[in-house]
Amino acid sequence: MNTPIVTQQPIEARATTGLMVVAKRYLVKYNLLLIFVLLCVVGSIVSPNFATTANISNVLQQTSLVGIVSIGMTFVILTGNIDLSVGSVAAFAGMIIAIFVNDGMNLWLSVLLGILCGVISGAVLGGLSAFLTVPSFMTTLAGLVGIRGATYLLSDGVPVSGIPAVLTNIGTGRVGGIPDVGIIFISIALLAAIALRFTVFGEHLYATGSNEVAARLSGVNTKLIVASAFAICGALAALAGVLLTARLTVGQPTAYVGLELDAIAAVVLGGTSLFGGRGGVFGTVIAVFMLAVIRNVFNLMGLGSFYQMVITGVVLIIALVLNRIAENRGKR
Amino acid sequence: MIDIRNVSIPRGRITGFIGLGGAGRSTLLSALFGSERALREVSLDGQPYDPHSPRQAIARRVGLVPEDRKIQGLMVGRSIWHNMIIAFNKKGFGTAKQRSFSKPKEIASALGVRFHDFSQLGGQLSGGNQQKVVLSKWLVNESNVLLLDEPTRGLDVGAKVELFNEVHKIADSGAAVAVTSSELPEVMMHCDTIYVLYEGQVKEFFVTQGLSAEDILHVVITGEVRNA
Repeated sequence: MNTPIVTQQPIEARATTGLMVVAKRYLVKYNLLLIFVLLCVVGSIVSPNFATTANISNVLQQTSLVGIVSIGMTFVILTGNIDLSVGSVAAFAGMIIAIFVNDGMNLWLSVLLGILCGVISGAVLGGLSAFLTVPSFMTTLAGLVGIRGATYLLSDGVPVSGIPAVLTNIGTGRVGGIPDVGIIFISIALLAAIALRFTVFGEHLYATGSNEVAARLSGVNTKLIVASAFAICGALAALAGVLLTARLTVGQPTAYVGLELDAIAAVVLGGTSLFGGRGGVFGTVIAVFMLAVIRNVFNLMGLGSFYQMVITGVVLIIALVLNRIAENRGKR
Repeated sequence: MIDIRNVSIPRGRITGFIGLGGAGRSTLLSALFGSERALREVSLDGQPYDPHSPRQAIARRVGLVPEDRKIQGLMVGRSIWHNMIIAFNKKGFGTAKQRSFSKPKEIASALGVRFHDFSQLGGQLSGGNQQKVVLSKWLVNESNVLLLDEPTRGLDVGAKVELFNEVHKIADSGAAVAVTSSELPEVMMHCDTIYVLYEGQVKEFFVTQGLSAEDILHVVITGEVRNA
């Protein structure tokens, strides 16, 4: 019964050291970063205006808001879910603070309430999906339609102006050449990376996305984790909505139509698996910048937005294919 | 619906549950682990024990190695390390990674889990090693009531023996171990007592000493005790 089993040494299937192997491993892991750097090099060759501080600052300004939403979306997709309501939630939050401020409410209180709206809508839509085991695709699709409708109702479909300068300064301001919104975006990305990597919440989030049943049977409160991921996503979407209102100086009911698709594209391009459990914020940030740089280079070259759309689609496919090839190589 | 009464799972022993498929073996363990709704009147170490979720069961140091290793037990896409510490994570800042770095290592080497390094994905291991990782999860958590649902299913002969060697060690260290199996020889060889389940009820109770496989098998299949 207690016969000892002869311990076999594991067979070394491949060398784990050596310069080439290490280089290859990093290449596989950071292939997206490499493509991004290549793209920047190409950009600076085709357009002399690309590598200027003003242009880079512009790119950051344009991309930060979508970036903030994409970080929230990363949390949701890591749990194996999807949030289609972010565009509507962002528009709603941007609209409601404009209305609150016009009614004479304290600016910061209304900003806080706007973000709270995002938290609540995320928690409700995500919670519905998690606790009733309804696909999040459907609950958030309902949110996409319903919340957009509510935004139109609030404003009669017309923009609401009267945003105080304190807020509009944040939307357009720069600190030492770096846009305020860019600083907010990068700080949120860092916070999100820390939350995912170094907290029990992050650990449980990955576990839930990786194998929900196993996570639950290991004592993870998977439903609460999913609902929290949606709440975070809603909060960040609302924040992006508030910042857009700050930049446009009006609450715009038609803002951010189709934002969810941009965010999902960035997250998936960044290497996060749509099935959950794999990926992270770093990839999302690189992907957000990559998509922005593509758009920017085409702008600088004077190609119209029709070209941009086609090329963005093509680049997305190429990047995804390269990503998958590298991943399969790395897995072996 | 199953109706199980008068079962006791003593510490320091391995208690076996045998029965045909659908006899209620898995349901019994799930009910004890709080992952299935049940009317329970159970006591654990003299205290009433009524877990309504796996979390509550885990807090009482109960652990379940589920029947379907790859679907319920292991996170195949996560590293060995993450698989081992998942049940140990408690609320708060800083993952278990920082707080108790040495423990999974000690347990992995004690169990003889064979792998290159902790960052290897759970799905890359062999069946036996995967099962050991699932078991380690509870040892890292210092669980001392272990519910093993068909732990040797799909393992090769060597891995089966090896796994049971470890289970014996765990029981010897004072843990209460419950094992379900559909293989009689295995249960007879390793368990101190055997309960036979038939259509959701405990039909017979055996102490594995000097009894014939035929007697047990008769109860397993017919649900009736053979009168000698």
